[in-house]
Amino acid sequence: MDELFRLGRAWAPVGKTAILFVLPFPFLVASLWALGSGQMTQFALASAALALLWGAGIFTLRGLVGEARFLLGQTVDPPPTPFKTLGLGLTGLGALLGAMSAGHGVVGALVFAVLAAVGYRAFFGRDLRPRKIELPSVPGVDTGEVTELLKRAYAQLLGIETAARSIRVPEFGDRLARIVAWGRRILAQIEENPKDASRARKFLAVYLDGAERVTQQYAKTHATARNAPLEENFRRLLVDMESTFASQHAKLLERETTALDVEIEVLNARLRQEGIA
Amino acid sequence: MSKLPLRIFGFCLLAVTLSLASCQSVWHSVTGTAAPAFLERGSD
Repeated sequence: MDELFRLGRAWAPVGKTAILFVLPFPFLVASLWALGSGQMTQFALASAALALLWGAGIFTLRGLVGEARFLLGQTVDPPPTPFKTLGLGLTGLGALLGAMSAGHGVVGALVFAVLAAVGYRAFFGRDLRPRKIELPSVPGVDTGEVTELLKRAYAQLLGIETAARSIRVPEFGDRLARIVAWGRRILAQIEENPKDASRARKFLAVYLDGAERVTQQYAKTHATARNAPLEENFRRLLVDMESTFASQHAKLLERETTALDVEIEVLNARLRQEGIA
Repeated sequence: MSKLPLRIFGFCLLAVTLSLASCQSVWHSVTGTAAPAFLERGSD
């Protein structure tokens, strides 16, 4: 039941597409009646409107399914095809032809098309864009590999955030939010300096992976039913995770500070050699 | 900022637009007129 609830929250938006399958249904009646009474133009318009609106529903469904998977951390990127944009176009066109089959003129039909398109965009929103990761090129670092590593890590953080939303204990939600924030700082640090990826590899492969699995497992089994000993264990785990994430971030920064100290010392030595310092 | 009001607005707009167009289309197919007679000007 808890698992259904958790998954339901992530997949619920997919049910929104029902509007694009149910509401155009009268166009089917209109087209069949027009066919029966020999009104071929009316039949063509109503059928086309129905096909376009159901097509919009299919595209929107695919887009929302892809988004749900991305938000659950099951995929690294949101769907590359802009399904919602395609759905928007088909909805506008379907509304245009539908209004014409209702006897409206061109202007009236255009108004229907615009209103339907605006309603679609407001209701379904925009397509999610994949996170843009641009790494500076660093000798000896495979930027393609680091990009993939970062994408996967960001997806895992998203998975932790989504799982955290279904955990009913507010304290755990706050701790997980802080852990995710530390995770994002670490990934931002790696984006700035891709060399840090090798130093953070253990963190990414072990700690982040483990954090995601544990959080999702806890959310799956204990989203609503509270159990004091297990809560205490999870609390200790979250405290440890937060501390680990914070110290990993500090270690990455320390390397930056150490490198800078070394550079300053080398420069001072050079200046002394030149008799300037 | 919550997007719920926007989603509700979008739902209502889309629902009204599609419902109106589809129901009028049925009327048009059945009667061959663009709108119910009682809505036309000058009708009894």
